[in-house]
Amino acid sequence: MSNNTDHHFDAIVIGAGMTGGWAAKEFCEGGLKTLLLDRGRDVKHVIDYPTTNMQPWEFKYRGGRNYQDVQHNPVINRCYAYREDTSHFFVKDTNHPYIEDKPFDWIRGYQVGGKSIMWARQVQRWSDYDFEGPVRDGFAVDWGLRYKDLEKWYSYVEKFVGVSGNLDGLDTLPDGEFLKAWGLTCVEEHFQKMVKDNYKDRHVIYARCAHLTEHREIFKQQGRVLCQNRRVCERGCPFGGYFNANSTLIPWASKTGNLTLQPYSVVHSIIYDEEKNQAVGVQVIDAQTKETTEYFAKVIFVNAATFNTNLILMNSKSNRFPNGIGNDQGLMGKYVAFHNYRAKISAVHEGHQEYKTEGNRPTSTYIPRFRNVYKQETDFLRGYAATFYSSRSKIVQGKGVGEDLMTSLLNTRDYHPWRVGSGMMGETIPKESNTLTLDETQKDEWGIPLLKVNIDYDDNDEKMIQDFFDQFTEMYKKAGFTEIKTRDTQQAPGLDIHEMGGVRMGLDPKTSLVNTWNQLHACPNVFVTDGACMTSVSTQNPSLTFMAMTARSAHRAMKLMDEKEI
Amino acid sequence: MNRRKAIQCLSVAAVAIPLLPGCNTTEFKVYEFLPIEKKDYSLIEQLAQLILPKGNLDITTPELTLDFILTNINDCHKPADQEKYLEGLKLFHFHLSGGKPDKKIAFHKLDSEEQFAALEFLQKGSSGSESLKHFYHITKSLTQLHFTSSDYFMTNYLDFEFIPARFNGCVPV
Repeated sequence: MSNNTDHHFDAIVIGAGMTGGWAAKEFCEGGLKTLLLDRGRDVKHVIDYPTTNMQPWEFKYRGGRNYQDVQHNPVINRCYAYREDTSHFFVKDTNHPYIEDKPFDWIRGYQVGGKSIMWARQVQRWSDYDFEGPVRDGFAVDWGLRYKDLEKWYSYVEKFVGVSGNLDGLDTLPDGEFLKAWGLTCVEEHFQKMVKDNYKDRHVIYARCAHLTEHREIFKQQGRVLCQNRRVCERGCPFGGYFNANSTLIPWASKTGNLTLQPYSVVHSIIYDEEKNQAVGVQVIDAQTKETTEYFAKVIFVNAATFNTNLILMNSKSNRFPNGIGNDQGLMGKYVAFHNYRAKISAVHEGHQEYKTEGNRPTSTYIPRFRNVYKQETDFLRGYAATFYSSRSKIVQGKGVGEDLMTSLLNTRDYHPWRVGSGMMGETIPKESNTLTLDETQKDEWGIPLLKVNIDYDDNDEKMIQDFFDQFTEMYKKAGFTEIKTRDTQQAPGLDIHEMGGVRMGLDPKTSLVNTWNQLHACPNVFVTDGACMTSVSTQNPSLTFMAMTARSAHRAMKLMDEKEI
Repeated sequence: MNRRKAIQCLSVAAVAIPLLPGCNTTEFKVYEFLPIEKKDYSLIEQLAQLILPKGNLDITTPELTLDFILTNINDCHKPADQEKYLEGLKLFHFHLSGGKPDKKIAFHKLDSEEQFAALEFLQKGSSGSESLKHFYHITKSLTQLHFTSSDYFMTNYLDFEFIPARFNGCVPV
C-alpha cells in the first residue's frame, strides 16, 4: 500500500458521519492508509459533549427557545432535536444558506460524527418487500440489490453497533442480531394484543434501537458500557450507551494507525484524470483559512450526507463529465425522495390507571408497514410504518396564589391518564421533478455553488395521510382509546431528516448512477454509500441500511484494489 | 445569614444582579430588550415571592427567580410581548402610586396587607387592561416554572432521575 506522505493515500472518505465512519473503519482495518475528511470541527467522544451531564434545571430557558435564534434560523428551529442542550451540534440556517425553490427543511450537522450524534437511533432492516417495490409498482428503477445481498452486512453492522430488539419473526421486517429489549408498557401490550386479535397482517413490536442493553466483548473493546436510560442521547453519551461514529467507528479506525482524520475540510470537488480515466483525488478548501489543497487516492468514498454528496458530485466537472462526475445521462440530483411525517394521531387511554412506568426507555413501539405489502389494495402506492408510544405524567396544578399555590404544587402526587400517540412514516415515490441542482450564480463563502432544492409532496402522499388517519382512528377505537385527535402538521419535507436519492442505484447505466456495489457506473473508483444512492425510500429509518451498504462496498473496493480493477 | 440567603447573594454577585435585602451590591444585570429601572427589579422580585412564597423550603437554583423571569422574557419572548409586559409593569406602578406617577412607591416597603391587596388587584384583572393581565400571567407562570423545574421539585415531586439505568413498563402507581 502507498504511504500518506505528499497528500497521497490509499482511500479518501468524504464525510466523517455515520457512513463515512464505517468506510474509514473498514479501510483502516484492511490496512489502507485512509484520509477521512469532514467540513466541520472535530468532536471527540465525551470531551466534546459539553451538555451531556447537565441537569434540566441548569438550562436557562428550561427547554424554551431563543426568540432571536428562531427569527434568524427558522429551519433548524423546527427540528425536534434542536434544543438548548443540543444546538451546538446543528447547522444554523444563516451560516450555510441554500435555495428553496419549494419549502424544504434541510437539517444538518457539520462536524466529525455528523448527525450520528443526534440521530433517533432507530434501526429496522429492509426486506424484499422494500427492495422489490419499484419493480412491482412501476416507479423509479430496479435496485438490482436484494435482501440476500445485504443480509450478512446487516448482521455485521448490528453486532458492532449493538441493537436492542426482539425476534419478531416478521417477513416485512427481518430479524437481526439483537441484544435484549427493554419491553413495552402495559398500554402498549394492550394495544399489541388488540391489533393481533383484530388484524392478521398488522403487528405492534418493540422498536429496535442502537443501544447497548447487554455486555459483549466487542463493546468492551470499544470502551462502551450499557445504556443508562438517561434519554438525553442527542447531547452525546459519556457511556457510549448508544452508537455514534464518535464513540465507536472513528476511535476504532484511529487505533489501527492508518487513519488521518482531517476536520475543517470542505470538499470542493473530485479530481478526474482524463488520461487515466478515473478519479484520482479531491480538491479541499480549508474551512477556516480558505486555502485549497489537493489530496490523492486510489478510491474515493462520498459520504457527505445525501444532499451534499449530490452537490459535490455535480460540482466535480471536467471535460469528460461536464455535468458532474458520473452524470452522463443527466439523472444526477433527480428522483429525490424522503419520508412523509406529516400525519400524527393522539388519544387518551382511561384503562390501566393503577399502573405507570418507571425509569426511561430511549425507544418506542413500532408498527411495520401493513398497507399494499402483498398486493396493491388501496388507491395509493406503497404504505407507511408508524410509531406508537404511551406515557403517564403527574398532574401539576398551579391553583391559586401565595400559600395556596405552594400548597397546590406540593400536593403533586396523582397521575394524568395514559397518553398515547402515533406518527406516520410514509414512503414517498421518487419523482423526476424532485430535484437538487446547483445555482448558476450564487456561491457560498468557500466559492461553492449554492444547492437549489425543489422537492414537494404529491397526491399519493395526500391519500396516504388520509388512510393513516382512517386506519389508526379505527385501531385506536378498537383499543378503547378516547379523545382521539388527528393532526396534519403541514410541515415541509425535510423534518423527517430522511432525504434520499439523487444518485440512484440500478443495473442499467442509462437509467441509474451507481451499480449494486455503489460504484459510479461511469467512474468505478468513486463509491456513493450514503442516502444519495437510494433508489427508493421504503418506510424504515434508513441509517442501518446505509451502514450495511457502506461496509459491503468498502470490502468490495478493497477486493477490487487487490485485483487491480480500480 | 442563612444558607439560602448566602447562596442568593453569591448568585447575585456572579451575575451582577442586585437588590435582595441584605445583599450589598449596587450593580444591575442589563437585559437588552427590557429597559427597566431599579424599582422594577425590586417589584418583580417581591411580586414573585408573594406569588409563590418558598418559606423554609431548602431550594437552590442556578439563578434567582428574578433573573430567570427576566432572562426568559428578554431572550425568548417576541418584541410585542416584551412591550406588553413593560406596559403592564408600568400600569402596575401606576396602580401602586394611586394614580399619581410622581409618587414613588417601593413595593417591598408596603406592609403585607397592602402587598396582598395589590396582588389581588392583579389576580382579578379588574382594571381590564390586557397588558396588566399579561404582566401578571407571565410573572406568575415563570415564577411557577422556575420552581417546578428546580432540582427540589423535579426530584421530590416529579420522580425525576437523571440516570435511572432501568425501564419498567408497568409498575403499580
